[in-house]
Amino acid sequence: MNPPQRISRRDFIKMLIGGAAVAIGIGMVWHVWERLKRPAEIEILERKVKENVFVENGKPLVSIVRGKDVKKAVKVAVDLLGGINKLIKSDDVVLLKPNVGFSNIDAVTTPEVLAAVIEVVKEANPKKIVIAESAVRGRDTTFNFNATGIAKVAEKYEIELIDLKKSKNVVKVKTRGKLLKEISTYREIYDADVIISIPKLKRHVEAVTTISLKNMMGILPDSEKGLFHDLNLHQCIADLNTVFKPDLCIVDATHVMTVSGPGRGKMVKTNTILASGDPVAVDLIGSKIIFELEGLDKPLERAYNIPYLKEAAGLGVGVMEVDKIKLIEKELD
Amino acid sequence: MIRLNRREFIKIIVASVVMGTLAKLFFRLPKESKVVRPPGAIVEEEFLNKCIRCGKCVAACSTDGSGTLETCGYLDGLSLVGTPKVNPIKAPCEALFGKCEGVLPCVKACPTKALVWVEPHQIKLGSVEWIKERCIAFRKGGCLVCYETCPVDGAISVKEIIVERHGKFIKVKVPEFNPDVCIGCGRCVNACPAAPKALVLTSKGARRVIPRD
Repeated sequence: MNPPQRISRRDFIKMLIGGAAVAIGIGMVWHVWERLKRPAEIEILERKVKENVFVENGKPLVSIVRGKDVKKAVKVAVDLLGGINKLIKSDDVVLLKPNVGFSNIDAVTTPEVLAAVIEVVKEANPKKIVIAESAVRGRDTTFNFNATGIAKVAEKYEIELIDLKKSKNVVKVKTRGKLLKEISTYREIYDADVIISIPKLKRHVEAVTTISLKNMMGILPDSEKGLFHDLNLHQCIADLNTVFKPDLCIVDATHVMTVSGPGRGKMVKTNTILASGDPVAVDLIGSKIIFELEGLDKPLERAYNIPYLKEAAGLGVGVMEVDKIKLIEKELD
Repeated sequence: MIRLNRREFIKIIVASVVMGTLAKLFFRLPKESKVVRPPGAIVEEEFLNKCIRCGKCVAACSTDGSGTLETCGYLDGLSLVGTPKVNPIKAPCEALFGKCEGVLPCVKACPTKALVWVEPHQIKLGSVEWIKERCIAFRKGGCLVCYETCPVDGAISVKEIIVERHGKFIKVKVPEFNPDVCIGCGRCVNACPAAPKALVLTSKGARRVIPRD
């Protein structure tokens, strides 16, 4: 056997440098290759928005029902509009979108209201009903479902409950908005034929009030919600609703969060349910109710000045003149 | 006896100074934690002695908890490598007002009592630092997602201030943080939509457990 070959210091250093150069070269080629590999193009989908079916002589209807029996109040509120069968057909996938952004019961849609809505929707016998939500940034949706009793309602009626934050099926959908030309949401939402927004009537630190239009932010991935806050929340809410406009809004005003929100506020018991096929109209009336409960002067004018309502009305999402809306009020015993 | 010439002597002196400085840089034993520790962590010096860097708390957090825990890397300091830390950017800690309340999977997974059981009201992981120049509310108004998501009454409030923007004085609502009330869960940090984030979770004010044995 030959004795081990000795290499000089100079050669050794040369080899080191040569090796390093080769490694760097391979790394650079790899990097460029990775850069060139474009991510798969995400298809931008389109969605058709339904016309409001709950109208009378061209005026959108808004029903306001007061009564302690939540189940009855919800049923009457929808019947006053003309009944659920006007909207839902037997082959429809119906999405129920309650507000479960938080884990404290004050800040979310009351489970009894959701249960009442499910019973009304089931009368129309749709193909499928789903409940979906993506909680406020920083909050765990599944925990909120369990802590607030929403999960129990879904279990009782055997309805699929979707924690959107756990879904990976993000799709992009074209809007007819001003600022956002497309919006990221989830396939589960896009696949729904009918959207029913079931918000809680609440004050909001940034949006002034949060009712059915703002509630639709809960169909977005967290990153998209962040973008809304960075760009212009009011405009983005309006833009979102040009494509994901609720076809029916059933507002939980059994307990109303006034003064501050959306997490904590002064709760006022009003035992009221509002319903409408026009999210702008119902949000206008709902905002007015909040301002009245707070004892503020000129509640209607204040509601007219809420930017997201103005923008949404401007984009044709709904009607915001009170004389172009038909209010139907009813007191139950 | 080895005789050194002047050149070699100076070489040795310089080398030892360099080595000493490096050692000082890497082998610091901190008395106060720089990283945010999981709930129930005992005082830092004891913690570093008892923690065997098994990573069981991190694993428990990712399966049963929110997934906020991760192990410290070399950049956190050599003596901390392998120990757990809370990373609110991954997820907030759910030990209070969340799914881990009264459960604490990380504590239950710890085999050496570096993490010990604590009652929910005793949990305070740290507090939040506000970098206002990055804050959307301070820069142009709006946002306040931190206030929205905060589960602790009084930890974040909203105040109105007047700032000059583009030569005009405008009223903006900004968040105000109360470090004494804050429990350091990191929900606001996780929620902050600014890039880079305007909020940083620090171990400042953390309530650490003094071990009994």
